Formats: sequence, structure tokens, C-alpha cells
Amino acid sequence: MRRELCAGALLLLLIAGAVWNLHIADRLTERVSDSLGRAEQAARREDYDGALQALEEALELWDGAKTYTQMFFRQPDLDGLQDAFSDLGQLLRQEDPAWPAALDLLRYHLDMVDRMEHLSLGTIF
Amino acid sequence: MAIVLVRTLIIYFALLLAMRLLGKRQLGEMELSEFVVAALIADLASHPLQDMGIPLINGLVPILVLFCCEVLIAGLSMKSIRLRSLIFGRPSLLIVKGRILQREMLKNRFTLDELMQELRAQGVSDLNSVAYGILETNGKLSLLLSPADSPVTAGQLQVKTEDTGYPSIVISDGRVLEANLKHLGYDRLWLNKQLKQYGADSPRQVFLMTASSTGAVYFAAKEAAK
Repeated sequence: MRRELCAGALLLLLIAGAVWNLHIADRLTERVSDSLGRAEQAARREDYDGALQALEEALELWDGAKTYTQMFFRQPDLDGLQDAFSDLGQLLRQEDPAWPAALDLLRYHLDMVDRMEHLSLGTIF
Repeated sequence: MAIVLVRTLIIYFALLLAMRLLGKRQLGEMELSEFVVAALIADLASHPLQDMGIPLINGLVPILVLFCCEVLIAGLSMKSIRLRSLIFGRPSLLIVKGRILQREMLKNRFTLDELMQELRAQGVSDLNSVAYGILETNGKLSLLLSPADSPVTAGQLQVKTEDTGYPSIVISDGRVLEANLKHLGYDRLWLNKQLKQYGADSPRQVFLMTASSTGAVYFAAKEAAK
């Protein structure tokens, strides 16, 4: 019976771990999204330095959680996100008016990474 | 390269631990759920090894979840007969007193070829000699012969037989297994006496030596290396 109790406890621990992971992923993507929101507002004011600074903050937040993201997210998803960060940065530096499309793509990648952890019929099946 | 090595080692030891904790059954003796879990675990473990882009945790978590479910189901089925029959099924009678129960054969998708193969494998050439043929939940067919065709036992012949006891290994490839020796109630003095009797000077000259509590000894000397 002890073995069954240990297995039950381990299963509960895994479920708790999954919920905790969901929370961590949500918090991380939310903070990165906030920084991206600030970058968008600055870029709309044509304050490209401010936009780049906010983007830098978002990238620092993301890179700061590298150990976590590499442990829990798939590498192709992370690569896509990293490329989107880099593309947006380049367009903002060039003050290219095409930056909103790059920002949308970055948000899409961020949303994809976050959504992969959420329980829904779509992600399960 | 180093990453692949470490990832493989982690998966290997996780698998080893899971399979060890699940039990010692052989593939052919597995129940349906055990077989499903074993096959799934092996397949799941291979993905993070083949694709470095998949986090290792994606391979380890399913192994842990399957292991937990299997242990829980096995434990609960020990307590509940209903759950046991629901998950593992029930044995089916395929042969009763030489008569094949065709409906049961059909229900279990057991073909005549498979039936004949099982009969041959168990040395049965005449179906009439089978009293009961039971398809067990692990897929094996158990055959109980009719009394007239069953081998005669020593008890039936009223012949007195001696218990040879359970043989334990006391020397394995030159190494003395002290725990087994002690468990049998023997000591080094007894062992040395036995070795001398078989013409060996030391345990290093012995390939295998077994002994039982009744005193029966099997001895095999080590062959000289070519």
C-alpha cells in the first residue's frame, strides 16, 4: 500500500507542478507583453529610442528566464520568438514603418508559447 | 554530443527505475495494461532522445505519470475484484472436456490455428485429452488434462519422495555469496569441506556451486581459460 500512496502523492505533485508551471509561464509572458505594450506606445509616438529601450527590457525579462524556458518550451518555438525579437529591434532601429507587423508576429509567438501550456481542447487534441 | 550523452543517461536511468519499480514480469506474462504502459514508456522515452528540440522534461513527465497510474491501478485492482476484471478482463474457458466452445473462441478472437499452436506447444496431440482449456488474461492458454490423461504423480503411486530443498547459489564464478551461505545455515568451514570433497582448493576454482538446506550440493569447476 505504501507504493500506491507514494505513486498517488507523486501524481498529485506532478499535477501541482503543472499548475505551478502554468502560473509561471503566464506571469512571464504577461510581463514581457507589458514591456512590448510600452514599446508599442513609444513607437506610436515616434519615440524609437524609448521603444527600443522597452523592447530591450522585454528581451532581458525573456532571457532572464532562459533556464526555465529551455527546460519547458520546445526549441523551435523559442527560436521563433528570438527571431521575432531580433526582427522588431532591427525595424525600430531603422525607424521602419513596417514595425507593427513585426510586433504582431512577436506577440503571436509569445502567445503560442504561452498557449501551449494552457489546457484546452485545441491544445490537448 | 555531451548533451545527447547526458540526456540518454537520464532517460535510461529513469526508464530503468520505472521498469524496476513496476515489477519483474516478462513480456509474455504481462497483463494488457502493463503491456500498454511498457510499450508507451519505451516510445515516449525515445522522442526527446531523437529530437534535441524537445525538452527532456516532456519525456520524463509522461514516464512518471504512466508509472504512477500503473502502480495505482495495480494496487487498486488488488483490492477490488470488479476493477480487476474491468481492467485486466477475465479468463475464458475455450475447451471443456474436449469440446471447443466456439462462441468463446469468437469472442476472444482466438483462431483455430492459434489454438492448435498452443496445444502443440504444450505437447497435447489429442483434444479429447483436454479437460479444460483456459485463455488467461495475459493471453496464454492453460491446459488442464483429463484425469485419465494426466501424468501419474508420486503421490498417486504412493511412492515416498524426499524433499531436495530450494537450491541457492553459494559460489558464483569464483565469488562466495556469504549471505546465501548464512541463510542456508552453513559456514566457511562447511564450504571448505565441500570444496575439498570436489577437489577444489579455493572458491576461485569454482564456476557454480549451489546448495540446499537439505544438504544437496551441485558443483561445477571453472574451465581453464583458452
